Amino acid sequence: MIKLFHVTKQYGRDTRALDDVSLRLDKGEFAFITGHSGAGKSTLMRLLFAAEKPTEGQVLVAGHNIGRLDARSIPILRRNIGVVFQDFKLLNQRTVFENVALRLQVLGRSGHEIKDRVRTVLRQVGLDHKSNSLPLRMSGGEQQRVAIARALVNEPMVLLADEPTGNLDRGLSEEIMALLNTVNARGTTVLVATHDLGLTERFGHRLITLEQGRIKEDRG
Amino acid sequence: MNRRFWVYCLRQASHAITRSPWVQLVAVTTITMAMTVLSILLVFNTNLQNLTADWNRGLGLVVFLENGSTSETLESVAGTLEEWPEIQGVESYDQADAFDDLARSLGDDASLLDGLDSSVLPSSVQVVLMPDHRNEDGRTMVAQRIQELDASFEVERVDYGQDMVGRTEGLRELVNFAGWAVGILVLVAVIFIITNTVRLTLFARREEIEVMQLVGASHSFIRIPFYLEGAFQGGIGALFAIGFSRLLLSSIPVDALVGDLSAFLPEFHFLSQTTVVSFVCGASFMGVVASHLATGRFLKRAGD
Repeated sequence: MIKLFHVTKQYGRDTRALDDVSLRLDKGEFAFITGHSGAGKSTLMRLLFAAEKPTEGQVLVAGHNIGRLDARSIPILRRNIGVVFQDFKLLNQRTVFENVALRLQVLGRSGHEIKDRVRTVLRQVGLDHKSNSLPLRMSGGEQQRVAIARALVNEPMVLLADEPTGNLDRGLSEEIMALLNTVNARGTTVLVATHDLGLTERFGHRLITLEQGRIKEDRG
Repeated sequence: MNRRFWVYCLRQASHAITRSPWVQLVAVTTITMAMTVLSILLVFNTNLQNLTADWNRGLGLVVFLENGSTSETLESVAGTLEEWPEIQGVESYDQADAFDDLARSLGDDASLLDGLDSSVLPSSVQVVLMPDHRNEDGRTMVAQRIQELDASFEVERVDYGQDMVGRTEGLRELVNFAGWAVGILVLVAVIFIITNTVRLTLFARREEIEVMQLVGASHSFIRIPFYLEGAFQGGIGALFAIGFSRLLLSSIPVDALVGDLSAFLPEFHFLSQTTVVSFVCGASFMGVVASHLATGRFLKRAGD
């Protein structure tokens, strides 16, 4: 589902965010990417949803070669990938329902289908009673669950989560991780970037450790 | 792009317009002012074109004979010209007729001619052209043919209003040039205004656009609501400009300004319906172009 072959990402002349990284994630797999700040976790994630292109090497996601994607193909790739961020990236002036529905509107789905799918996914993340709430009136954990619901509403093949628990306390973090586990159990490939080693140990999935842009360890 | 897509785009565009009414008001007002200048110039240009065309149609030719020409020569010239297919009719004036005409036109001042002999004025033939030759080319062609007549016809010169036509043509060209110059300036100004308004909207909605890009929105999905917003600003601005210029032009007290001369002025026409529709559509199109420029730059910077 995700393949990286000797990927290097360089900014300017001297800064190498990723250096000769190769890895493979199969369909339905769950993996953590960990490492200190500046290790290259976020750069790797940005490459996977085509916010960046590799300087060298090949990045393949759900059959798309990121380096060769033109501007028109990027949205098509992103419709197959759900992305969750530390800062949620929710639209604060829109309700929970509207935030989640946006992804289906982009795909041109009918109003009836949007209503059904959004209700179902909100029920899955335990927020069906908050569909008319505005994000800023909700807790961090709830906001992150809305972001996850939005990422999952069209049942993407891959879910990328960049520090999804970075703004949450331990209890809420575990709640979010449990939700990601459930998503993975339904067959979605999940890749989570986190610097929280305790979390990775508690959930015991494959752990890829980055250090100065290189893979230091890949276990599990 | 199905109906749902267009409903979504229209809804987004109307939200954008109602969310920032002051920005829209400033943009539409500025566009209205710029387009008013353009529409007034367009009205003047159209009327000047009509006026010169009317003059062109009304002008005939006058063939002046050499001084001392006999009445036989005058009849011979009139008879020859009358047979030409380009000519509808002729009227000949001998020296005495011309003198009487002049005296009549002087009215109470006819005494100025006392002591003068009718031989001071030349005999002439007034020529009325066929309708399809009542234009500059037709007149010039017939005048040339008359001047090429045998010397026995004693034609001294042909007056076909060339000086007046030259002057009105010059004025028309000047107004035309001014129209183009102002038109280009207004075009640039309107594109600039709409580009900046859309940029403001884009800036205010940058987070929303980022999220839309992340969830896989295509460029057209993001851009088309902005195109509609630009088209709305341009179109509404142009409509107001048409209304405003009409009001402005109809409020000019022509009678008070030109007095009795107003009787000699041709009927003043505002822009035709087709021109108004083209004007509004053109302004809307400029709005779309401006929005395209603004969103293009923004999306490029946003990294897609």
